[in-house]
Amino acid sequence: MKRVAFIGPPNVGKSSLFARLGGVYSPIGNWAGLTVTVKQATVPWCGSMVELLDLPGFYALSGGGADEQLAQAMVEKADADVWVLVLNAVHLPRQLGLLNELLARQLPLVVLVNQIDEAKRLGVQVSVERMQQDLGIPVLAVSGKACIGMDTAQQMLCKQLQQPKTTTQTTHLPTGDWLTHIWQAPTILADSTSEKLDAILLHPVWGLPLFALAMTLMFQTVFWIGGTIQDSLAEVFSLVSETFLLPYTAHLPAWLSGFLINGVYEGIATLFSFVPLVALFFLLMAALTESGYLARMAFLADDLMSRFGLEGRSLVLTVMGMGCNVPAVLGARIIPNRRMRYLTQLTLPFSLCSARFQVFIFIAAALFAPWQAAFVVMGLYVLSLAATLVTAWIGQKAMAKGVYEPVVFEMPSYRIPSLSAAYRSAKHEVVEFMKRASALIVFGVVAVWMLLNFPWGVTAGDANSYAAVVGRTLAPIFDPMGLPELYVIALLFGLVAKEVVLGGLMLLMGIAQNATDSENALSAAINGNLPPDAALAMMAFILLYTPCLATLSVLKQEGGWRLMFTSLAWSFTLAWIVAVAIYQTARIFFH
Amino acid sequence: MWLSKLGKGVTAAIKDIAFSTEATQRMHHLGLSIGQEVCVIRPCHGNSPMMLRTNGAYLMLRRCDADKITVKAP
Repeated sequence: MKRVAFIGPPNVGKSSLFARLGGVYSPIGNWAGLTVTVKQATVPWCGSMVELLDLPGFYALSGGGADEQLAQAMVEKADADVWVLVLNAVHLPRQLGLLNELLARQLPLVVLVNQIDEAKRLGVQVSVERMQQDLGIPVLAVSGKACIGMDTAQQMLCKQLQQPKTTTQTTHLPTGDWLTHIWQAPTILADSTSEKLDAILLHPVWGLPLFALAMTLMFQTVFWIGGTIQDSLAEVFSLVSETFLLPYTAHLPAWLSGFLINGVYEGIATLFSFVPLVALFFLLMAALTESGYLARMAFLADDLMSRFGLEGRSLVLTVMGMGCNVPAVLGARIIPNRRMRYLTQLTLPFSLCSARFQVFIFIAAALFAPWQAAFVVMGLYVLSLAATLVTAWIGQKAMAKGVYEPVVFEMPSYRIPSLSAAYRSAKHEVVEFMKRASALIVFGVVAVWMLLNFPWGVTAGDANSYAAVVGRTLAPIFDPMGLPELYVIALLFGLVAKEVVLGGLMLLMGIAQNATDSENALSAAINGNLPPDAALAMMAFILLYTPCLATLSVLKQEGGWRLMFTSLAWSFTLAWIVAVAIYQTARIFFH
Repeated sequence: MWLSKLGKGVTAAIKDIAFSTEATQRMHHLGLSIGQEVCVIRPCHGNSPMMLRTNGAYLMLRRCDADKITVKAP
């Protein structure tokens, strides 16, 4: 199978062209370093299957962060039939160095000069015909965002693939005043709209409050609109349960109907009811990233983060980790400084991901009045940030300083977000979330149910069940945070993935109430099954304790066993200390 | 004159960059090289970073790093 690789400097639109030309989904955004792993797609092109690769951006064939080195290694192997070098029409002069290096390697190159629409807007003219003529390789002006030149680009690439693999004849760029022949720009090349916006949004006094306001508005929108739809969905699921499921399962033994209704059905229904919240969150995050405003967060937060041994981009990754910690940990590859990258990766598992978010919404809604629940969830976000900063502060004191590397990075211009791109991003994330979480919740329900009901013959959750035995064994650890023994089981399965806690909780709350009772299973919890002070401690513990298996796996991949075990041990210790402190303080108010 | 001392809207050419070879190379790839003109979009306030425009690109640079770059006074 023929292979086409998209390469080029960061944030020039490689992923956008990869997605457009391949007709596949790829996360895109206005942020240098969004792609940190090699993305692959197999597509039918010109009558045969072609493998497309989207590589992380790099400025040169040596140096840079871990993401850049990954792409550089692939170029070194020359393992593609066609290399598509994507360059930004506006910043062409400083990207020609990379073109020069690639010409010297005599790779089969095609150059796509992207964002040609943006260049025209800024008064920049690029002569791709002259480039093609002087370099002897195909060069085309395109715009992935505005869909300009896509058909021609595909035809050009097909033609290249159908030809025998050839190398470029030109081994270096023409010297002299060649640049002036291919690229003309106004004397002052500036994006006045971006500069005007930055004068307000990066204002030394108003910048941070404005960003905090924007984030608050985003979360309020998610909760307000998403919450309304969620409530309606919950009513539909409740109606289905009462009208169809309960009558049809009434003849079943109590343990089986309890397992099916309170465990599997409630678990899946709860998961589905979170879809509006998750979809809205990812839709708005995609729009925020593409607008270029999220990248400004790195600028605004850098001063604060630097005091804790981190940099502004660490906080942007923390926000990205609110979707899922795994891509955020991988995303830390964009930080070239090894020490800063290590610290960032150590703190990212504390980012309140969507899996934990649904567990918190579930517990908070079950135990607190709506106005209190909002504060509880907000408080958990604050705790997440505090854990990040405390971890980084301790980490920077404990780690050797190493070689200093300057913190400098490119800020993208502001762009009007594409609704279709934001929609595609949200759709992809929701589908992935549903696939992962539904399987995990069912696993959690089955696993907890087995522990509650075995050895065979015991009453669900009684003193002889495996769940009770495990709970009693671990009681000395969890007693100081006031956690009932059975709830420890749900926490144990949360080590696999935090969604599993939700499945376990659904079952535990149902069992505690009475499996055949038609009332909402949550009412059992409200009626004192899980005291509010213990619930607060438990939520803090779930937020901070050991990362899920997927996150641990990428921590091992990125920083070896040392990073993985440090994260594992530290997060459990911190979670225990914080949870015990919260419980012991809260019980003063609740008792 | 240090780059960090430049005020908003001031344009100056880079005279010297006092970093390791690798870091200087990285600066070069981002558009910060000797002789290159830079314009300050947002100066340092306290310890906050600064934002520069160079050849149409916008860069964030920490104050402590801007202290290691000298520019020709405008």
